[in-house]
Amino acid sequence: MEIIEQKNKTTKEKEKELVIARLNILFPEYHFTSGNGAKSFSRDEIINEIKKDSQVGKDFIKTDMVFLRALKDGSLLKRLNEVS
Amino acid sequence: MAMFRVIVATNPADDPATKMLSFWHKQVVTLAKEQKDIKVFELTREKTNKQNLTELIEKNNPHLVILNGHGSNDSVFGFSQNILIRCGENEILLKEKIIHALSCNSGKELGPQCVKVGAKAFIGYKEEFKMMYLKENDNDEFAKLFLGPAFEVVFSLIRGFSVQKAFNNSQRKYLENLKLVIMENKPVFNVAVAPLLYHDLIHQVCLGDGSASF
Repeated sequence: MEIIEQKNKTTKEKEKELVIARLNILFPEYHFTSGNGAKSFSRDEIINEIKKDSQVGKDFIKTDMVFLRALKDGSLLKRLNEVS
Repeated sequence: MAMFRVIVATNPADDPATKMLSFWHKQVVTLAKEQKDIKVFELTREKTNKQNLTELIEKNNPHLVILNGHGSNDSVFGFSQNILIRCGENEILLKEKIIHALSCNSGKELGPQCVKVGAKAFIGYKEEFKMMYLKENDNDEFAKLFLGPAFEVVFSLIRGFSVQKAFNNSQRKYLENLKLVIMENKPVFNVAVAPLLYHDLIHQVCLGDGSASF
């Protein structure tokens, strides 16, 4: 059980690092809206949310990983082929 | 006596996200006014509250209700996040209407509940509606990638397409924009825009009678 938890934690940490690395190549001026709050987040604010494991940060990682998995497994490509 | 198609719309525009919706909503109003058979009743800023919305709907009996603003699983909000419609409270107000809710999460519980109590159709989002922008204006090159597909629902309904066709047109625009940003050699498109666009694409829902039209 402990080994599985360790493995999961590692995967989560890797996902976090991947998403932060992807965000870091953007200009800091970009803003993102997220969720029901009235806030919008700058690139650096999103990175901070991810680092502190807030719900906003977790949601952002999830969104990024869902996209990357769809890209990898071909399901996104299949949908893109629906449009000429 | 001429028969009018009636729209009631909410437009709180009280924070960056809803201000971006407001810029695009103006295009809806312009398009609607170009049609000779459409009347638009709009609640803006502080006027976007439950009492005003209730009165406007009861008085004008709209065919299409456009809800721009924040939302949750069971509610949509107006100015300062005041609740406009909530499950188990006043969703009956939307009976026999076509609803477009450009708000987070309301497609999860509120949408199905509206259809259950007799709304013709509900198009919205069952998760957060996400977008990205650089500047708060009506021509931001990033915001339009998200809001173009989202607002296509209402543009299509105004042009006379059925609910299902309006939803399909919107989904198609999402896919076209996704294709564009993935093929474009700009890191910001691949890294930031594409995941958010994909999120909005897969969480947009169309509930109720797809053959209904406005």
